[in-house]
Amino acid sequence: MALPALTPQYVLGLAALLVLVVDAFTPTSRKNGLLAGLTALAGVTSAGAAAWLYAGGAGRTTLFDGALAVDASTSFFTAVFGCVAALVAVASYDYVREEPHQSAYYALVLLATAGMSVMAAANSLVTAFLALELVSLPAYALVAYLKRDAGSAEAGLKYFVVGALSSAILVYGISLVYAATGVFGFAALADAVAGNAHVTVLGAGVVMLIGGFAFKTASVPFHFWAPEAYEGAPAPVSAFLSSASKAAGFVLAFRVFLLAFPLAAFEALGIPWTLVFAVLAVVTMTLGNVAAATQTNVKRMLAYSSIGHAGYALIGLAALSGPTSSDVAVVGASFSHLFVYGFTNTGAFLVVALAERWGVGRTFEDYAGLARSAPVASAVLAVLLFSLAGLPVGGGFWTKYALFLGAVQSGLWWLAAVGVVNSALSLFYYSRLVKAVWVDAPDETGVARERPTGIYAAVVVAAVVTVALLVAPDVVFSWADAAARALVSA
Amino acid sequence: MLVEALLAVTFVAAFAVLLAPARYAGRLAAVLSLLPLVGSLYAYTAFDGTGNALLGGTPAFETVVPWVDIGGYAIDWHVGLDGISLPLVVLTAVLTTVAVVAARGRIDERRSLFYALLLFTEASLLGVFSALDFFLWFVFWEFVLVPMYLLVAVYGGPRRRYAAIKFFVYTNVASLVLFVGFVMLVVATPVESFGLAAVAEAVRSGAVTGAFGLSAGALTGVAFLALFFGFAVKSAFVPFHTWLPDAYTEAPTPVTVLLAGVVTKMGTYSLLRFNVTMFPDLIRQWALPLAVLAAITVLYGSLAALAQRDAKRLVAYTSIPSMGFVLLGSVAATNYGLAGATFQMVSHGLLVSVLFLAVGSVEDATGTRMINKLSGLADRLPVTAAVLVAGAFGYMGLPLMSGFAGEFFVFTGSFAAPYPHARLVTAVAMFGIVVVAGYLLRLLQGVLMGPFEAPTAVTARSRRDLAPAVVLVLLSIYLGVAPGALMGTIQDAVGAFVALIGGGL
Amino acid sequence: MVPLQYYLLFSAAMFCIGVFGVLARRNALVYLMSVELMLNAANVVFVASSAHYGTISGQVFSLFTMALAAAEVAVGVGIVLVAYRNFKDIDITNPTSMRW
Repeated sequence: MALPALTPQYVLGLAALLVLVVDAFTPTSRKNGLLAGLTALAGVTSAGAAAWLYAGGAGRTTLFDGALAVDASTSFFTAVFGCVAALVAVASYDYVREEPHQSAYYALVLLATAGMSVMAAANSLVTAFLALELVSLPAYALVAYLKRDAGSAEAGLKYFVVGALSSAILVYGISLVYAATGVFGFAALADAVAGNAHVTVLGAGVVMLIGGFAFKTASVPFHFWAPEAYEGAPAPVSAFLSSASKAAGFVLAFRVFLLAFPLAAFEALGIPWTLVFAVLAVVTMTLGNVAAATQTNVKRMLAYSSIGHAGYALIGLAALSGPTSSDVAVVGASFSHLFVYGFTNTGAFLVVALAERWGVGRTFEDYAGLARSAPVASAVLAVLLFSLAGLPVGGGFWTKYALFLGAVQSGLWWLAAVGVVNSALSLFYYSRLVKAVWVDAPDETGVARERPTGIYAAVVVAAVVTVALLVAPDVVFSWADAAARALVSA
Repeated sequence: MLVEALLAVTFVAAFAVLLAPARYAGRLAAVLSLLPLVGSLYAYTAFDGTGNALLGGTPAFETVVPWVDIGGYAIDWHVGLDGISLPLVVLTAVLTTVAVVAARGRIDERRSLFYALLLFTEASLLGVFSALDFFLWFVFWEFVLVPMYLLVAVYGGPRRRYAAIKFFVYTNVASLVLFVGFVMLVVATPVESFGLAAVAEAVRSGAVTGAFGLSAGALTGVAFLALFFGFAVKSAFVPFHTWLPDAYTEAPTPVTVLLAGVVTKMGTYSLLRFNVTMFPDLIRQWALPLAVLAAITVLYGSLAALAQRDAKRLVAYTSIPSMGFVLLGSVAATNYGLAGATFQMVSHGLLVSVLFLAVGSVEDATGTRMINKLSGLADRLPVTAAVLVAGAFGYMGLPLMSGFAGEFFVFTGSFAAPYPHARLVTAVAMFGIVVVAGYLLRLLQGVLMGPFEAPTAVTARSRRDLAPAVVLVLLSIYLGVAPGALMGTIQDAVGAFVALIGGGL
Repeated sequence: MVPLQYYLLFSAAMFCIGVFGVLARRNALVYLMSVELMLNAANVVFVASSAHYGTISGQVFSLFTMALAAAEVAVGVGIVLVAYRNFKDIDITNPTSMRW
């Protein structure tokens, strides 16, 4: 059966409207389960539709006069977004149960997810910008969702302040690129930048675009909102932003830089943007990991570690070197890293959501001895954290290895070396949390913990998928490879 | 499929025990640990491999299934057993059962988790010894680390956290270095797979090219050193040994048995597989410094043991010279040296476990491990005393026990080694045996002989507790009387290597 | 016709004023206005370039930008209100319950 190429996007957008409609007709009844179920179903359906489209192998479909283009990278990342949204929705079922305005919450999650999947299909700077804002605006509101919680409000304010600034910078960057070229479409831009006469304007525009993407992916220099926003936001929203929103920023950056700003043309102009990304990658991963190692607050540690992971994923842009095979390898590695990271990091944040629900506190010490009262969640946490560190207990091992190998194969072995050192450092702080949970003094023994079904199901699924990707990584790697091929050789 | 079955059964057993109620976890684990034991004994009898798995030999129970392809490198699920790995697989299965049985009555909290972790460790160890693809091997290698860390950190003695973190950090840094070293090496060769045999072939045939700003020779050297460093930490060669006394002493006895008996053997086994088998030229070239390191390890370990007052710590230190002998035999790269090293791994695994079980039993009975607080226990704890004496004499190299055979093979091989001053270095290392004998006798004399003295009333545990130790002593005697039971298959595997590089005895 | 460069310089000046406001002002509403200024700087470039190249797309983009700016203000003011309820102030440097 041939599905319309934008089926996943339609599903997500319509589901968001449906959630609002349901709420409009039954404004007073309790329907948290229904809404969470709808959201999760929409997420899974869109991921399934994306997989279906990929399996159908239609190649590249351009729509709306070239404003959108659906290819393997679209379906790959839509699957990531759909899965993360489903996990987040299932976990939110328990997390927002007592909160007002649940329909708005789920609708915002769905709208943001829809925006992300459009970002993955953007083929013009116009759609790119619109999709990016479609993600950002719901995200601001989601971070500030707990209106009576000072942390949430503060996080929302800071996230919004930095976000508004970065989107202004992004728009100005787009306007400069437009001033230099006169076009918005990626394909047209690729032609227009070759031998462009307005190098300064174009260069300034590209640098500002990088700034905009850095905000979305929580990379240096627009990373500083992330610890605040992730710490203050409701934990499922932190999971959503740090996994899906980050991946969305990356796919857009990959699309823009691979499709619209071909490296060869830019090197001819004297703007080798890979170098910028290489520097950003090194600074981002080092800053993220070093800062994470000094944290005492678990959520903040995860936030900084998420910055560190943005640094690893940036290797995919930094290590482009020209030959198709090695470019596909390194971009594919970055894609699969984001895929695995989507599950692993979401799971880790959702374990924090679980801990927040139990009221165990926020610091490492507060988590001490959690393994006694909650062995399953603690085991899941250990698996997820070790996988984030790159130990071979989860798919993160393969993707990190593939990233560093890709960097080496592109001749950037120093970048790989920095990555390896950072990975070693990351193991230090991840294992500190594992140690706190499993080894340190037990909290009041025999305390009965409630078992919120939704969050438990979500974290267990995340852990199972993470481990399954260690055993059978080829599923993701082959898809990521096709996705990378679609962009590199497009 | 036998290897897969072993791994699957053990992993499933670990999960089953994890889910079992704490009351039955011990018994269930004991019963389930018999499955891999029987399986490994079956593997021993049905073993039909020939030659060295890395040198074109035919491993037994071999399976190759393509796993994943990353960056143009094929990574396979490739397992199989040859004459070097088979004895270690059997040793792993035996010692895990021993550890599970020995844990009875010693562990009183979170029991399901404890036994599950023991079985999980066993499964990972079996994977390490049977993997023939670098990535598969590395995955299992790292798998061992996590349960071991938890076993020490959660169930250990008073300084368990320090010991566990030290163990974790040391071995993880080691893993990272060896991983990077090996991947660098593979990237610089034209092979397109991480199969150990393929890489070994490429390195041996000089297909390494310069990369990373290093010449081919320098790169090979760096990779060799990185791998050696990784394995040296794991096997606790001096000066990378400092994690060992802490971890061994703080771990509960059953965990110490696994740690000392098998986990350090991962290092020496991999040393044999990687450093020796893949880099015959370098092992020849650098034999002297490595042998000197081995001699230092032997002497330092034995002298440090002399200074210990804690019986468990003393036994922990005795492990260091034994690993030194393994290194000595490995770098000799002669038939008897390599075979002796492998044999010594098994023998040491058995005997050190006996000693730890005996010391654990003494501690349980008297409440202390301090040698100067104990005296004259022979009358009160006859069975423990007998086991301790048997283990100690086996360790000292009493003929007709496996310790003698292992050390004899190693020294025979090392004397005949082709590197300069081989005899001198070997003789110096042999002196270590005298020191070992000295402090073990001191231990026996102090604890067992003389007038009875102990801080508390002696409460002998039931004799069944020492049954596993008795079994190990009998196994050791069996191997001492009939070393051919293992040496045949071992020599078949190392012979292929020796024939290749033209070593002697 | 005025050359494109002048528009670019003008918009750069607008943008810089906006950046200055963002960096210097601590009142959330003034901050929002500064961001608006930056967005409008981009709009100037869009419209001017659109005229320069004789294509309509830039002008369309500037319409999108305006709509988006409105949406952003709506969300932004909402968040500022939430923050005001919690902190009784709209100074964006004031909420520091979390460490920067």
